[in-house]
Amino acid sequence: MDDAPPLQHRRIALGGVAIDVSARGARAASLVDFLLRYMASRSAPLSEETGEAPPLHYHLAFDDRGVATLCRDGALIYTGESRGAVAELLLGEIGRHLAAHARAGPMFHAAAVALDRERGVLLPGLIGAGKTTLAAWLLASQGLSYLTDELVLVPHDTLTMRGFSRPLNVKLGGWEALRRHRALAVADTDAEASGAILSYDGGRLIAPSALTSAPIRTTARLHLILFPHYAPDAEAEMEVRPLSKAQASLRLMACLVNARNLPDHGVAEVARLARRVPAYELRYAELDKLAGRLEPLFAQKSRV
Amino acid sequence: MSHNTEKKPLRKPGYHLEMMDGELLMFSPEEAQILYCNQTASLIWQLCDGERTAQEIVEMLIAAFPEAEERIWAEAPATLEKFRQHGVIEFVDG
Repeated sequence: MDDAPPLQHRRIALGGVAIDVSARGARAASLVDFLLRYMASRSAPLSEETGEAPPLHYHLAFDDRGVATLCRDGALIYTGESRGAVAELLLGEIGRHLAAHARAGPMFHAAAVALDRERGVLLPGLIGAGKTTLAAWLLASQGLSYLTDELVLVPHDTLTMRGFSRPLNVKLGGWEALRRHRALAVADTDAEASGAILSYDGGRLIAPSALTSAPIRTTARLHLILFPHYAPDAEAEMEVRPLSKAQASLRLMACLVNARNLPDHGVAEVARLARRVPAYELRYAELDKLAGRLEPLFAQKSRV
Repeated sequence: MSHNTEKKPLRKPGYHLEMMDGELLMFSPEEAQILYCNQTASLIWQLCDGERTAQEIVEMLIAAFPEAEERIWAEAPATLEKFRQHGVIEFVDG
C-alpha cells in the first residue's frame, strides 16, 4: 500500500510557455496554491499555442520536519526550512523561464492593474523603480484590480495585457512605505496570521486579496502606461511628465525581457504600443501624495 | 565645428527605424543597440546623405529655423559626434 502523500499538479502558461508544478502533500499543495492560484491552470497540451519544448517541471515537497525540497526537472535547487525562501525562489524561477522563452509577443518587466472590467494600466520599471509598491497602493487605496507585479505579456498585434499573476513581492523598503499608509492596515499581522502574507528575508509575498476586494483579472486592455519612479528624497511631492511616443518606446525597450525572441528585437511591436497608448513618467516621494492625482490620467482616452 | 568641414556625414545602413511625431528611434539588430533622437537630432540624421558637409547641414537647419540659430549651433556638432560615436554615421570625403 502506498502511504505517500497525494501529488497535486498545476500547469501554468503565459506567452506560449508552459510550466508544470507538482506538490507532494498538503503543505506543499497549500504553498503552491498560495503562489499560483491566480494563474490560469492548463491541463491540455499547449501545441496549438506553442508547438515548442515540453514544459519545465518543478516539484515541491516538505518532509515531516518541515524541510522543503524544490527540484527543477529532477535537479535539486533548494532544501531548507523557510517557506518564504522556497516560495520566493520558485516564483523567481518561473518568472525567469517565462521571460527567457516567451515568443507570443513583447513581455515587459512591469506591474499591471485594471481600472475596470476592460481598461488596464501598465507600470513598467526596472528593479527598484517601485512598481510593486505602487501597484499595492493602487489596489489598497483605489480599489483597482490586480494583474501582476512582475511580468506582462502583450500578444502580437493586440492591446491585451496578460499578467504573471502571483502574490505581490514587496521588498522591505516598499513594505515599510506601505505600512505607513493607513489604507494598508489590512496587510498587517492579521493577514500574515491568516496566510495572506508570507515573509522571507528580503520582503513579503502578499496575496492581492489582502489588499483589495476587487476581482483578480487575468487580462485587461492596455489603456495607459505609467513609468513609476519612487524618489523619496525628491523636492517635488509628485510629478507627472508626459512622454513622447519615441521616449515611451525607448523606456519600454529597457523593460522588454524577451527581446531576443522577437523579430527586430521587438522594436516594431513596442513602437506600435507607444503610438497607441499614452505614456507618462510618474515621480513621487510619498504614496499619500498620489491620492486624487491620478484620476485625470486614468480618465483620458487612448491615442487612437 | 569639431569635424573637418570638408567631410560629409553619411548614414550607415542596417538600422530599424521608427519615426514618431518627428522623433526617431534607431535600432541596430547587429549590436542590439537603440538610439533615441529628438526632433532636431532626427532632422540632422536625415540630412546626413553623404552629399552635404556638416557645415552645410547646420546652415540648412538655420535657414529653416532661424529662430533656433543659437541652439542649432550648440547642438548640431554634439549630435553629429554622438552619431559618430554610436556608429550610425560615417564621415566620407567630398
